Amino acid sequence: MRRLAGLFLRLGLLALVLAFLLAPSAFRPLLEPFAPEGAPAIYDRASLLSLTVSHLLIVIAAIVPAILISLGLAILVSRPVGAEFLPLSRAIVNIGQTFPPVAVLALAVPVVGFGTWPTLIALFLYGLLPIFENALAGLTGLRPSVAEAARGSGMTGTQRLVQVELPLALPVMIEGVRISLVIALSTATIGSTVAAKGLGEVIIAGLNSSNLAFVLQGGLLTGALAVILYDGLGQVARLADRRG
Amino acid sequence: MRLRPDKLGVPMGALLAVSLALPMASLRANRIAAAEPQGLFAALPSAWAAGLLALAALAVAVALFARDPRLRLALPVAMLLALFVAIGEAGRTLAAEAGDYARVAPGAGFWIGAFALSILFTDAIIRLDLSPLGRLGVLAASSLALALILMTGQWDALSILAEYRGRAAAFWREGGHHLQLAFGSLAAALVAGVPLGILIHRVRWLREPVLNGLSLMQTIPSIALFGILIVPLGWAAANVPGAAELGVKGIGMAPAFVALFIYSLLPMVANTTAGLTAVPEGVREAAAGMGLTRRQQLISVELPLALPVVLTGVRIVLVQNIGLATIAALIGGGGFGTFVFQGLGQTATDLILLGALPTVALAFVSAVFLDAVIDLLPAAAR
Amino acid sequence: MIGIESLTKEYGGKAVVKDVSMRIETGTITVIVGTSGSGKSTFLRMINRLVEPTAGSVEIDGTDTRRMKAYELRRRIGYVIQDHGLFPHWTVARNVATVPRLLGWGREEIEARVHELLALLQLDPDEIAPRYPHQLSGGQAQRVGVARALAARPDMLLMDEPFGALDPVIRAKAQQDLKEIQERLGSTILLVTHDMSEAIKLGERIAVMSEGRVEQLAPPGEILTRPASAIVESLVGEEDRPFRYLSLLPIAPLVEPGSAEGPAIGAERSLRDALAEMIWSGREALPVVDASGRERGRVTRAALIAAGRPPR
Repeated sequence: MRRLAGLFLRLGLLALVLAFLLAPSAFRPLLEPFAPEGAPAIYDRASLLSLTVSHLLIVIAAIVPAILISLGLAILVSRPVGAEFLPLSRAIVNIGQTFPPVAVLALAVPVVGFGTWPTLIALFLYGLLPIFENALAGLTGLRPSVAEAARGSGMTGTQRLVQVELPLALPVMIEGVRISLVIALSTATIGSTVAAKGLGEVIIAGLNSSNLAFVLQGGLLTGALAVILYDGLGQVARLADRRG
Repeated sequence: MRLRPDKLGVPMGALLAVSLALPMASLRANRIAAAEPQGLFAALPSAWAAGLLALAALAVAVALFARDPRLRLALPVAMLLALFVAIGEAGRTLAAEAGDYARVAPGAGFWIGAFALSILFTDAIIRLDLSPLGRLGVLAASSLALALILMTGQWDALSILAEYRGRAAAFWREGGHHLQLAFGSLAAALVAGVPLGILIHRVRWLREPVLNGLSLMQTIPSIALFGILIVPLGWAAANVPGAAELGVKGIGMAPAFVALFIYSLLPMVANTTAGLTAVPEGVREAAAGMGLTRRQQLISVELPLALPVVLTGVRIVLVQNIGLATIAALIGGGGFGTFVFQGLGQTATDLILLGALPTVALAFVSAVFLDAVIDLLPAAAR
Repeated sequence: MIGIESLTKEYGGKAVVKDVSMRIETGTITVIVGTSGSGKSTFLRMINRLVEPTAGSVEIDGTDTRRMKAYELRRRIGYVIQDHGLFPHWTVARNVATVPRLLGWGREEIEARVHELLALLQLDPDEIAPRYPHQLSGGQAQRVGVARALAARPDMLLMDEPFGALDPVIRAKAQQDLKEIQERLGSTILLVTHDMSEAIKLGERIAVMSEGRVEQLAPPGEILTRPASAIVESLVGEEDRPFRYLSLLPIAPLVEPGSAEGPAIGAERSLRDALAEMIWSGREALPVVDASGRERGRVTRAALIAAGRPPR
C-alpha cells in the first residue's frame, strides 16, 4: 500500500514537472497572484524547457567526469600502492569542502571568463568531494571479516576490488553521487550570475524585477528536479544494496 | 643506501618547479586594462629572485628526499613565507616602475606555487600527527603570520589591498553582516534544532516526516529560497506590529537569516537524533535501571554522549552558512558576497577576490577549529 | 522479603510473562533460568519497573512498588546487565558513585564507599578508580558494574545475564566471587541466565521459565532429581544430570574410616570433584582432609556412585 502510494507520488511529481515544462501557460492562473501588476507570470525571455535542459546538461557534464575521477582516486588511495596518500587525500577533501560553492564559482571566472565554463568547473570541483568521500568510506569501511574472507579464498587484488569491494561499496558511492547531484543542481542556479544558461536565470530575473512568480517557478522547478533525481538514485541504491 | 624519492614529493616538487617558470605577478596599467604577465626576474629585484630560486631548490629537494617530518614542515613554511613576502616586494617593484594607477596582482606562478606548498605543508602536519591542541597552535601561528604580513603593509602595493583601501569601511561592515548571518542563524538553529532532534528521537513516528520535510527544504536552490522568503517577511514587516522595529524587512538580512536558518535545521536535527540514537542500548538501560529520571538520563548521559555528533552538525552548519551567506548579497542582505557579485558585475577580479578570499578563510578557520575541538573531547565520549 | 503476585506482561494481546508468583527471602540468591524468549528478562525488568506489568504486583518488605516513583524504586534496587552498561564518559569512580550521588550522599561518604566497593571486588582503587570504561578489561568492567549496583546498599540486586560477555575462565572466577560477596553481605539477588550450570552453581533456589510461565521453582537438587516437566528435564540435560547432581553434594557426609593412596582431597569439595580425581588418577578411593589439613578418612567410588543416585 505504502509502496503504491510512493509510486503514485513519484509519477505525479514527474507528470507535474513535465506538464509545466510543456505547457507553462496552463499554470498562469496559479502564478499570477505572485507577479506584480502587468508583469508576465510565466518567464518569457526563453523557453522553460530549453533552460531546464541546459541546466541538466551542465549538471551532467560536470558530474559525470567528477564521478569518474573521484572514483578512480578513491580506488587508488584505497590500494596498497596509494595508501600513503590516504590521510592526505582525506585532509584535502575535508579542507576542500570548506570552500563555498559561490567562492569557487567566482574564483573560476577570472581564470576562464564568463559563461558556462566557470559553472562547469565549480560544479565539477564541488561535485568531486562528496563522491570521493563516500566512495572512500565505502571502500575502506568494508567489514574486516569480509575483507579477510576475500583474501583467504585466494582472490587477487583486482578480483577483490571487482567482485567484493566495489559491489559492497556501491550503495554508499551512489549516496555520494546523490549528494553531489543535489548540490550541483542548486549551485548551477548561481551559475546564472556568471551568465550560464539555466533555471537560475529565471530566479535572478525574478529577483531583479521583484517578480516572485519567476522566483517561485525557477526555484520550485529546480527543487522538483532535485527531488526526482535524488529519489530516483535512492531507488537505484536500494536495488544495488539488495543485490550486494 | 639508494634514495627513493617521496611519492608526494615528485608531483608537488614538479609543480613548485613549474610555478617558478610561470608568471609570478601580473601588471595592469590601470584597474581595467589588460594584464601583462611578469616573470620571476621581471617582477623582483634579481637578488630576491635568486634567493627565492635557491630556497625553492632546497624545498624541492626536501620534498623529494627528506624523511624527518619536522624538516618537511619547516621548508614549505619558510618558502611560503618567502613567497608571501616576495609577492609584496614584487608589487612595490612593479608599481614603482609603472606609475600610480598601475595594478599588480599575484600571477599563476604565485598561486600554483602556494598551492603546491600548502599541500606539502598539510602533508607534513599529517605526518607529524599533531595533537588537537597542536593543530590549534598551527592555526593560530598561521593566522598570526598572515595578520603580521597585512599589518606591516607588506602587501599594500597589491591590487586586492588597493581595492580594500577604497572600501575599507564597507569591507568591515559587510564582514560584520556576514558573521551575524552565519553565526546568528547557527545560534538559532542550535536553539531550535537540538530540542527538535531530541523530540523526534523520543517520538519515533515523527522522525521520518520531520527529516523528510527538512530534506525537502534543502532541495530548493538557495537563491530561490532567499527570494521566496522576501514575500512572507515583507508581509510580516507591513502587518505584524513590532516586526518592522525588530528589523524584519522583505529584503535585506531578514530573509537571508531565515533562509540560512532553514538550511541549518536539517544537519542540526539529524545529527542530534543520530547522536542520541548511537548511545549504546546497554548504557541507556543502565541509566534507567540506576534510577535516573528521564531528565537526568537526557542531561547527564545521553546528551554528553551525543555531543561529538552534535558538534559535527555544528561544524557542517557553520561551514555551510559561511558559504551560503555570500548569496545574501543578491537580495540586499549584505555580507562578503556584496564584493563577489559587484566584482562579477564589473569584471573586476580583485574585487571578487576581496569578497571570496575572506569567505574561504573564515570557513576554513571555523572548520579546522571545530575539528580540533571535537577531537579534544574526552576519548570516552567519542 | 520480595513478594511477587500474579505478575503478567502482554504485548499487543500476547502474554510474554504469564501470571508468575513467587516469594524471595531476604539474603538469598534466586536464579531464573530459561531459553531465550522464555520471558525471563521481561520478568526481571518488571521488578524494577523498566517494564511496567500489565497485571499483578511486586512488594518489597510489604510496600507495593507501584506506590513508589519508578526512579526512586530503581535507586533502591541494584541492576547489573550483560554488557555492563558502564557510562563511557564517566570514570570508574563516577560510575560507581551514580546512585549515591542521585541520593545526595556527601562527597566524602561517596569517596569512601567507592574505595570500599572497589576493594571488595578485588580492584585496586587507586589504579582503577580514575580509569574510563574503555580502558578496562571485560572482567574488570563486569566487576565495576557489580560495584556500581551495590553502591547505595540496595534492598536487592537484579542481574540480567551478568556473566554472559565473559570468557569461561573469568566467568567461573566471577561466579565464585559473586557467591562469596553475597554470603559476606547477605544480599538478596535475583539473577537471570540461560546457562543451567550457572544456575545450579549459584542458585539457592532456581526458577525454570518457559513461554512466560514458571515451570518449577525449587532448590537445585530438586530441580535435578525431580524435574516437574519435560521442559525442565530437557534443560537439565539427561546425560549431564548425574554430574550436576554430584556437584551439589559435598564429600563430608560420605567420609568413612580408613586410608587410601595418593594425594588427599578437601572434605568441603563436591562429589563431582572427587569422581573427577578418581577417574583421572585411576584410584578406587581418595584420602579426605578437613579444612585444617587433618586426615579424616577416605571416600570410596562405590559410596560416591551410590550417593549420586537420585532419591526415589
